[in-house]
Amino acid sequence: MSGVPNARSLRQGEKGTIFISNRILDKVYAVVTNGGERELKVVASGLDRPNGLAFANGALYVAEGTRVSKLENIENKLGDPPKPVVIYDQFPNHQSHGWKFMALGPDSKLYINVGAPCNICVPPDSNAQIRRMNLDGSSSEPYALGVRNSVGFDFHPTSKQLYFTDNGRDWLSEELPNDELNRVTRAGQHFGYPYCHQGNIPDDQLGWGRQCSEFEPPAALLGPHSAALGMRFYTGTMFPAEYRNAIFIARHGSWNKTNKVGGDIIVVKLNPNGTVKSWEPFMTGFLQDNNYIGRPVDVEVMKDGSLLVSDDYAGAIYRISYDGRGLAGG
Amino acid sequence: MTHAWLRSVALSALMLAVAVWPTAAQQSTPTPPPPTPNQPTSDSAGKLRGINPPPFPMAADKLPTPQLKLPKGFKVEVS
Repeated sequence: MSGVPNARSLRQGEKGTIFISNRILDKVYAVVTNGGERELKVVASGLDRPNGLAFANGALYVAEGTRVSKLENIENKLGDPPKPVVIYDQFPNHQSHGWKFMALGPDSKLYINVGAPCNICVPPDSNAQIRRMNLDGSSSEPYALGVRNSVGFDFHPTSKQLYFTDNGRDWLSEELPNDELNRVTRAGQHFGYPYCHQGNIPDDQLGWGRQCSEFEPPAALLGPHSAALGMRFYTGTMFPAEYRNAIFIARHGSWNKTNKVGGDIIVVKLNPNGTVKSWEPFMTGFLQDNNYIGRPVDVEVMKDGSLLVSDDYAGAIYRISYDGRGLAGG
Repeated sequence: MTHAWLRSVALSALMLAVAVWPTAAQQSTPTPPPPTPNQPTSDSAGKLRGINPPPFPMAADKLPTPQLKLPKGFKVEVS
C-alpha cells in the first residue's frame, strides 16, 4: 500500500485488520477495504509518538512517549473508532529514544521498551530496559535491563523466550559497536548498556571498573549502526520450511556512518537450542549508491503466511509472498 | 503618467522580490538536523546527520519496489 505517512510499526488484528503506527507524526491507521479498494483510515490522532502497537482481546493497544492506551473492540468500530482510553501514563518523558515498541507476551502481558534518554550515559532506573505490565496497566515491572533502545521484539513460537533487537551506541567509531539481537532466558537479565557494547567492548568512558563478562552477551551482531528495528518469528506456512520459526528483522539503515549499512530485511535462522545458527540478507535494494530509496522499519506475518514490510521513508507497506516458481523442485 | 505608473510597478516588484527572496532561498535549502550529543568534531564525523524522510509519501509509481531483490520464488508487491 502506498501513501502511508511515516509508516512504522505493523500489527494485525484478530479479524485480519492491519494497523500502522507513526513515530514522527501523531496517528494510528487501519487499512480498510471500501468497494473493493484498500484505503487508509485514521483510527486515532493527536498522539505523542505513537510508535508501539499490540493487539489483545479485540483491543488495539498504542504505546506513546509516556503512556499506553487502548481502543476496545476496534475491528468492529473502524467506521467510528472509540477514543483511546489511557491505561498507563508513568513512562519518563524524554525525546532521545522516547518512542516505544510494544508486543503482547505469551503471558498476556504487554512488553514495552523504555529507551536510554541519551546516546551514552548511566540511565535512570526507569530507563534502558524492556518492561512488562498487565493489560489494564497494573503491575508494571522491568523485564530486561541494560537495553539501550530496542525497537523490535518477539517471542519464540515454541520456547516462548523473548528475542529483541538493540541499537548500539553512536560515535564510538564508524565500525563499532554492532547493533545486537538478544535473547532473554530469564527475567532481570542485564544486556550491558551503558558499560559494555556488543558483548566484548567496554565503553571508553563508562566501562572502567566493569567487565563484559558481568552481562548477557548478544545472540548475534547485526552490523554497526545498522538500526536493527522490527522483528518477527516466521510462523506462517507460505514460505519454504527452512524459514519456519526463523526471525525476519528490518534494518532501517545507518546514518552516522560514511559507507552506509542496512536498509534491508535479514533472516536469522536458529539452532534447535535457540542460539543463532546464521543470518543473511533476505530483501535488499533499499540502499542504492550509498543513498536510501526506502528504509524498512517493521515486519508482520500475515494470516496467509505472506510478510508485510513497512517503510517510513517511502511511506509504503510492501507484501512479500512465495509461489515457489523458479526453484528446482519447488 | 504612464512612466510614473510603470516606475511604480517596477519598484513594487523589486521590493516584493527583495522581501520574498530570503524566504524562498530558505525554503529551497532545508536546514540540516543539528549535531547529536557526543558527536566527534572531526570534519568527517561532522558531515554525518540524521536522515529526514521526504515530506510526503512517495507516489505509487515512484516506490522503489522494482529495485528490491528477494531470493528466487519470492515476490514483493505494493497492493
